[in-house]
Amino acid sequence: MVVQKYLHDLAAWGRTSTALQEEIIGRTKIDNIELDDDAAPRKSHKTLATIVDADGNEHDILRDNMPFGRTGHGEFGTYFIGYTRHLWVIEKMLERMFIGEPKGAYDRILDFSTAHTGTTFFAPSRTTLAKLASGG
Amino acid sequence: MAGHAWDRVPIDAQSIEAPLSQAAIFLVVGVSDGADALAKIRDVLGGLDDLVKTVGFRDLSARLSCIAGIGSALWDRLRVPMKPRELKPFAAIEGVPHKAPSTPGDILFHIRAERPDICFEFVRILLQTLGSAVMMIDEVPGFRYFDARDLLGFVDGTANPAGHEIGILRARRRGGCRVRWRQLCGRAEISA
Repeated sequence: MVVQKYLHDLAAWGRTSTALQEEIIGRTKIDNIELDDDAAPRKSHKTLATIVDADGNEHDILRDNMPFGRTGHGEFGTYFIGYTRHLWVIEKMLERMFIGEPKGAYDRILDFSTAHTGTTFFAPSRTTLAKLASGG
Repeated sequence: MAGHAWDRVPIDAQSIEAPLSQAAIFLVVGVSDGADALAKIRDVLGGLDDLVKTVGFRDLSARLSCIAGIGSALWDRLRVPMKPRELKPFAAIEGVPHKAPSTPGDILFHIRAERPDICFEFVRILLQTLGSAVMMIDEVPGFRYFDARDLLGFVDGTANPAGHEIGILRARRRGGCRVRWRQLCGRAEISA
């Protein structure tokens, strides 16, 4: 599992038109409908975060992101948590977002969201956790 | 979700497929130096199931769940001969202009419940028990925002695996190391 704490620049996001926000995210804002961005000059967040291997198989991850914030401190964030069998799926996802696909065409959601942490963990099963606890 | 006993009994620790919730706390800690700290960590990880029951039974409808994740350095310190093959520290990404930093953490506790007070109570007792064995690195209380939106105003999480895939996940669970999202797992990534 990988976690990252993102803080958003909501003022700058608020100055961005809804049409451009939807283009960046890859979904409509009100009703969450996926937008086809095959012909778009820049890939959307939705497309960059979709991982397909060489055989055409899509590798999903399980997310349970949560918003957090302290309005009085100007803190508005998203805590990203992704569970995956293979770490490379999330690594690939983040590489596509931060480096870009193609290189330089990074995820424009990052113009409004800054990663402040990044840490990898392994979630053992109950059985394995019990073994860890008893010293193997 | 049919077939779950979540409303009748506490949710087992490490249940990755536990339901998305209205509230969560993400707790990242570092483990202090010394054998005493490691002994305390073993003790608390071994009792995690019981702690979920202790707190969760007070309101089963709140569906308290907790998953502990272990970082690479702590796994080495615990000296158990079964380190997951792919476990390594987060690799920072030096993009232009945006960077993804790598930051420390020995244990992540991912705590979910329908009630923030239940999450809070769990963390309170957990940290009281851990005492000086851990150093706090980050504590983030999260909340569900309207119809699962992020603070940018968009619905977040739609691309998650769907209900029937959770069924596959449950069917495939077996005695070994259930690692992460079992539907995508099949078998554990543990090197002997």
